[in-house]
Amino acid sequence: MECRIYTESLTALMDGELTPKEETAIRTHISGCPSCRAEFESLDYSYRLVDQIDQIEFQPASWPQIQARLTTSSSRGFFSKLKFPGLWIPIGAVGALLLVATSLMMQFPEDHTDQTRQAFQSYMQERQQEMISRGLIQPTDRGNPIFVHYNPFADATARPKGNPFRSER
Amino acid sequence: MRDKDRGETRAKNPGSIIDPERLDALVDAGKNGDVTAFSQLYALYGKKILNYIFRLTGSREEAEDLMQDTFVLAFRNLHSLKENAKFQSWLFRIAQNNVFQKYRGKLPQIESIDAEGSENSAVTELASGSKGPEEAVLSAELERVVQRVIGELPEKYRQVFVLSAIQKLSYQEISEIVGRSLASVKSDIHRARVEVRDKIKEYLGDNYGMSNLH
Repeated sequence: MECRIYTESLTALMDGELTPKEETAIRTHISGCPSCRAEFESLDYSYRLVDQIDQIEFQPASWPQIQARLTTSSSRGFFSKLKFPGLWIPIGAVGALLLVATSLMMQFPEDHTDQTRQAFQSYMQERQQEMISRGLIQPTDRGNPIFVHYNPFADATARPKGNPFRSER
Repeated sequence: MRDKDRGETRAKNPGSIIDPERLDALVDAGKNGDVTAFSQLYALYGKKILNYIFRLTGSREEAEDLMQDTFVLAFRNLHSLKENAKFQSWLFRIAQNNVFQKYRGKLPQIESIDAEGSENSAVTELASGSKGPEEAVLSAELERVVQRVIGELPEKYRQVFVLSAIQKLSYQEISEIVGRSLASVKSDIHRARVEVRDKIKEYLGDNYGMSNLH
């Protein structure tokens, strides 16, 4: 049991992660315990083997590629400082479209309705005046003219000349 | 050849490989968008990050791509680093996340390395270096064995083993990078070391314990 406690700390000993007090305790134990000493030496050997492997050579010459990516990202200006900058462009475009569409929808029907209404009213007034001038209707105080009784076929002998709808009294 | 002081505790990497004041100045400059200052950070930490990713993935090409991604991401998010002194562990964390993102949460299987015709010829290049022919052969063999052993480690052991045994980071830093408690990291490193020892012993057979060291 005691050996197990010490062997579990052997790697920490080799990695320099123990306090001076802990280190002293383990070294004291190892010096007096053959099995722990054997374990220690075996681990130590593997440490040395691993220490011999080389590392990949790093080439700082690849920096221009990284710099190009950094420069591209920083030239976006405002949007580069926002999180998920790529989302803001489509969101902004959709928002602008919605704004334009809404304003068009709000404006166009009124103009259209007003124009149509005005044109119709103007036409009706013209027609009304024409019918009054022809005697087909009589204006009243109430505003709405009334139709004069008119039967264009009452006098069969009187052939209308020109406009058959002109009343002859 | 063994050192006279058997079992001498190994020198750990300091928390930062540069002067803390200089690191602070460079990181602050980087936060202000100074690309030139950031290039110095790249020159200082590039090799560590490259090798860390290489040991996790087993592929040099992937390691170089992911290393570039790591530094680009680091520059863009430098403003989120609250303590400049923790730049190294923060950078390793980004590198690790990039690897896991690339491989969807699982470290890739590292294939056994052949001497020639392999994508991992980087390993052979590493080993040949400036050594003599006999040394180069032994070195290449050792490199293959160690890389294979690392590849066979479970994910969480592979991470801490590479950070501890190869990158020589402190347990505290490793704990910050992998996001686990100090006690958990200490235990995992011990188990990883024992497993690596057992596997190397298995591969080297009777040669284990012989003087392969130079």
